[in-house]
Parts: sequence; C-alpha cells; structure tokens
Amino acid sequence: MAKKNKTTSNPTLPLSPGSFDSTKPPFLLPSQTWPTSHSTEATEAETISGRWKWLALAFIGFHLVAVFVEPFRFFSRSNVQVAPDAEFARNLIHPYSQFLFLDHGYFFFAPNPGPGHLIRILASPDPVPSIPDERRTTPLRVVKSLDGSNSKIIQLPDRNTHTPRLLYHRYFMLSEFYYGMFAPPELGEELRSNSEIEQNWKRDRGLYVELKDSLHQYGKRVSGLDFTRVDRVERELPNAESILKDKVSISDPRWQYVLPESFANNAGPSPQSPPLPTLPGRPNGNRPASTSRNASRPGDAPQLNHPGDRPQSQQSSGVDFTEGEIIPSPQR
Amino acid sequence: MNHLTSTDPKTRELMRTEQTNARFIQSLLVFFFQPSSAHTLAIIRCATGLMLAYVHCIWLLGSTDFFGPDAIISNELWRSLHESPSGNDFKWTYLSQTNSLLTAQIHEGIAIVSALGVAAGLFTRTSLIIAWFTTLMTTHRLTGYLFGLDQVVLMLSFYLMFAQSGRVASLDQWLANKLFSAKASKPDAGTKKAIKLFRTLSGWHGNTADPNALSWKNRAATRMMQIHVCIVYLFGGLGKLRGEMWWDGTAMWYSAAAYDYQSMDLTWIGYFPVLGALLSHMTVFWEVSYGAIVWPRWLRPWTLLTAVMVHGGIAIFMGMITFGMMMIIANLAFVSPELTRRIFQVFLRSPSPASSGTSLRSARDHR
Repeated sequence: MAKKNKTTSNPTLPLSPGSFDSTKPPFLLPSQTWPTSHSTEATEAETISGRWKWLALAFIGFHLVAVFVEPFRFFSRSNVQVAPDAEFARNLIHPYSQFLFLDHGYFFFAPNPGPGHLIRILASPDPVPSIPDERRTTPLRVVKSLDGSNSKIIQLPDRNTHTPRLLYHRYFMLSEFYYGMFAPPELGEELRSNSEIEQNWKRDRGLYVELKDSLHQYGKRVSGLDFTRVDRVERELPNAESILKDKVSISDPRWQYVLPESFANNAGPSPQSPPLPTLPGRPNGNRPASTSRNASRPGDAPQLNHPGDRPQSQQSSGVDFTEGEIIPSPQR
Repeated sequence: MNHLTSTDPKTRELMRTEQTNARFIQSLLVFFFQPSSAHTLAIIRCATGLMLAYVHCIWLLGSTDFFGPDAIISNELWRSLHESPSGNDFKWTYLSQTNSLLTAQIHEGIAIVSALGVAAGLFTRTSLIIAWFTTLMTTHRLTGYLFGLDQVVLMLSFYLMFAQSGRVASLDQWLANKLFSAKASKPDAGTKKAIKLFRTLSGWHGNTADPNALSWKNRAATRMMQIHVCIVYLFGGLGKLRGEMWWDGTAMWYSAAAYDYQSMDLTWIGYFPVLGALLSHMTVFWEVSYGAIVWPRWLRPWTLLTAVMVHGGIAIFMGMITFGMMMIIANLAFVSPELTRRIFQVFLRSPSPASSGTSLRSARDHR
C-alpha cells in the first residue's frame, strides 16, 4: 500500500538518498509512522546525515569485505593454487585485516576434531637419553621408561600447574603451535631439486629449531638442570568402543605417543623400535592412521602469514609439513 | 516539471530505475543507520569488559613466560616468525620492541584497568579505545598462544568503540545525570568544563542522561557485529563440510574424547551414537545456515537458543568456558534492544520512558 502511494500519488516522497532521514522509516507517507508495538520512546535521537552517512557506509562496506575476504582466501586454496580472485581481494585489504587481527579462517573444530598435542620437556642433571628411534612414533610409556631417576618432567600444558583454565589453554595453544611448526631435519633428494621447496623448508626448519631451542632454554630455566630434551607428544583420539566397552580412560597414557623428529623411509618397524603396546580394540598394537589429518582444534583458528600458513610449494611437495594443520587437502 | 508526470516512456523507465536504486540505497541506509537504543550493547559491553580484564589478568599471571627476556617466544623469534618472505607483515606491536618485562606488565595493568572501565562504563569510549588497542598489541605480540577467544573479544570491543553503549548500565550515565542536572540548575563555567571533559572521555552524545536515547552509532555497531558473526559461522560451517567426521556422525564423539580439552566427562555420548550423529549434523547445518536463519523473527529465537546450547556445551564440557561465553555474548547482538530495555526495566525498575519528556518515535529495532 505504502509502496503504491509513494510511486504514484506522492511525488515529493524522499526517495532520493540525499534526502534520507534515518529517524523515519522508508517509503511511508510523511503522515505515517512506524507501528508502536515495537518502538522505543526517547528524548533524544542521534541521526547521521550529509556526507557522513556515505563515509560511514563506505567504511562499513570496506570493513565487512575485509572480514569476509580473509577466510574466503583461506578456503580458496588447494595444492595447486590460491584462487586468483580471492588472492587479489585479500592482497588489497591485507594490511588492514592483518593489523586489526581479522586474518582468520574460522576453522573451529574443522575440518575434523583432532588429537591434542603436548610438549614434554625432560630435564636432567646428566645428559638425557635419546629416543630409541627418532624416525618413528614411540609410545610414551617406552619413552618414560628411559627417563632417569634424577630427571624432571615439564609438560606444556599441565592441568596440575597451569590454572586457571585459560592459562592452561594458552600453553595448550603453544604446544599446538609448536606441533604445527614442525619441519623435518632433511629433505629427500627429489624435493631438494626444487629450489623453492628447499628455500621454504630451510626457513621453516630454521623457525622450528629456533622455537625448539627456546623450549630447551625454558626447560633449563624452570628445572634448574643443565640437560633437556624436548618431545612432541600426541594424544590420540580413541574410538568409542575402547572407552565404553573396554573401559580404558581417555586420560590413559597409552593413548599418548612421542612423535618422530624425522621420517622413516620405510613403513615397517625398525629393528631398534620397541614393541608397541597393545590397546583394547587394537589387537596388533599398531597405531592407526593419525586422526590428526585434516584436523584442528575447537576455538582455534589459523593465523595467516605465519608458519602455519604454508606456502603452496610445500603442500604440493608431498612432504607432510601440515600434519594436524588446518589446511584441507583433497588428496589426503 | 516533475518527472513522475512525464509522458515519455524512456524517461518513465529511467525514473523507475532511479527509484528502485534509491529505494535500495535507502533501505541500506535504514538497515545500517536507523537509530536504536544501547540496551543490548550495554550488556555486550559489560561482558566484554569483564572478559578482557580476565584475559589480561591471565597474561599478567604468566607474564614471565610470555614477555621479557625469558619469554618462550622471544622478541627475536617473534621477528623471525613474522618475517614474511614477501616482506608484508602488518602485525606491528610495540611489545616486540622491548625486552622489558616491567613494560609488558605495566601494559597489562593498563589493559586491565581500561577493561574494568569498559565493564563499568566509566569514560566508556576512552576505556574501550585503550582496552581494544592494548589487547590488540598483546595479541600481536603473543603469536602462538592465541585461539578463538582473542578473535571474539577483539571483534566485540572494536565495534563497541563506535557505539553509545555507555548510555545504559554505566557510571557514565550516573555522571551524566549529575552533570546535566547541575547544568540545568546553575550552569557555571566549572560545570560546562566538566561536561565538555566528560563528553570527550565518554564519547557521550546529547544533552540528557536518558538511557533510552537513540543513536545511529548503536545500529551501525550492532549491524557490523551481526554480519561479522554470520561470516564466522558461515566459514566455521563450511570448514566442517570438508571433514568426513561431521558427515559420518563421529565428530561429536571425537570432540568428547579429546582429553586435553575435556573439563567434564562427555564420553557418555558414545552410548547414544544416534544422538551423537544427530548433534554433529545439526551443528553443521546450523552453522552453515546461521546467516540466513537468524534474520527472520520467527526463527531467530531458535537460532539463538541453538547457539546457547552449542557454545554452552563447549564451555561446560570442552574446557573453554571463556570462548563459549563470549560466543554466546556475540550472539546477543541479535537480541532486540527493545527487549533488553524491557528486561532492564523489570530488573532495575527504571522509570517508564514515556515519562521522560518529548518523545521521538523510533523505528522498530530489528525488522
């Protein structure tokens, strides 16, 4: 009804944006008002007028584009490329979005819930023993059996010492960050032939080693001991059968493994590897394919342009730099 | 000649197009700038302020590990992390320029005080700017320790800076009452100066202490919050669509089985696989469609109720009470300020707005 009135019988109706009065509803006759059932009555109303409304609208538009483009660009990546349109738009607003901390992918619990990762620092007055085979995943209980009697264990995060919960969660995020930064100590010959991959690997490896050294220093400072070893521990996600039927607690240390610092070249167990413990529901005791693939953490989100934001050359290299990272890959 | 009376068909067609464009633009302007009251934003402001204070208390508590010469991520490492191959990194923070632990602790102290100012609504605009900026600086410095909570509190505090949220449930309102009544009785030079200073610090608009005052800034801030939340859920949902666990219905179980997150046992959900799968699927569909179903009035309560259940579950069971709470608070942006005002009236027994003088009839708060 109002629409009809304004277009036919009331040519003076303020249809031009320049005559916008934000205290009045649009497309109603001057004598008409908003329904009263949902209105607020007030003594004052601050309205926007003149050029300011266009400036404000332009700013809002720009800002919301920045909010949208960052996750859009993050989604628009594959092993082959980043979608050019997303990359173009993102490059335009990147200084703004990065400074305002808008550069996220919002991958909460996505693509899949993943296992937790911890940092375990072994500190000792004597030289610390090394992991039996650093190329393979080792059950935590095997690693524990090698800890000396004089040693101290510092775990990040630690439920007992890191309270309140938010402090615990900060250290938890650090351990996930450390896990995500992992870069192997060496590249295969085939990959080394690609200079870009090699260059990226060198950078990532350098950052990983730097952070690992920092954790060594942290371990020495906190423990007051001279020798440390920093391990990446993964707590596997158990299936329902193991927990409910076999009554194995999800906190059971048997779910925990020390991750390798380098990769084995073959799939079979190395002669030096200790036998893996047998878990209920897993007769051969071998670890299944990690649930960390394509997994991320709740409440967590990628922060672009840091080492978690792997260059495409690494993703296409075949090296699993991104295990547990939030970069989805259809080839996995 | 009025162009609506033109007989030329081309001219009439052109006019129709112009009118359609004008109508669209006007609708857009109304959507973003229709003045509204600050009641909902006041609740968001209080909650955000308290959470910001808590976040900075935690940074302060573990400051020796986070800042200074013994920081796990030292300034040198921080610089290496942010040394982009392309040279384009804009996460600047002055906290990465100094190794002084004391400086960082003072910074955190300022952040806590300003965040409490935000919660109390004392010099609201100034407190919000300081709280947002100090939080941003801390966030940039603490790469590696961050998660969704930091994104949400920065998002909310950023939008609140533009609003008039200090109008309601604030010390600013109390101050305004004092100052404006003093001005009315004896407008001496001191009172005028005090009012000017008060306006500058609090960002106060208008000449009364009326908590029901409307402002386009409230609407604009609310709209930005709402759209931002929709984008977060859209990509959160799309991300889940890429994972097979959200489709085969095991995502809920594996979330429950993540011990490092667990704050309350949820593994009992494994006894009810149908329920687990249903919740997994509902979460995905709800997140993906959030941006569409939260706008219609009849669907909005259900959408927000689902948000409370989802984030409440994360808060209670997944050990992220801070993140869960702030996501619920962010969802409050969709609650009409009119409804919030009524709730305020019930709880605070504030006088009816009808008795507060000349009335300006406003638009509906949420169409």
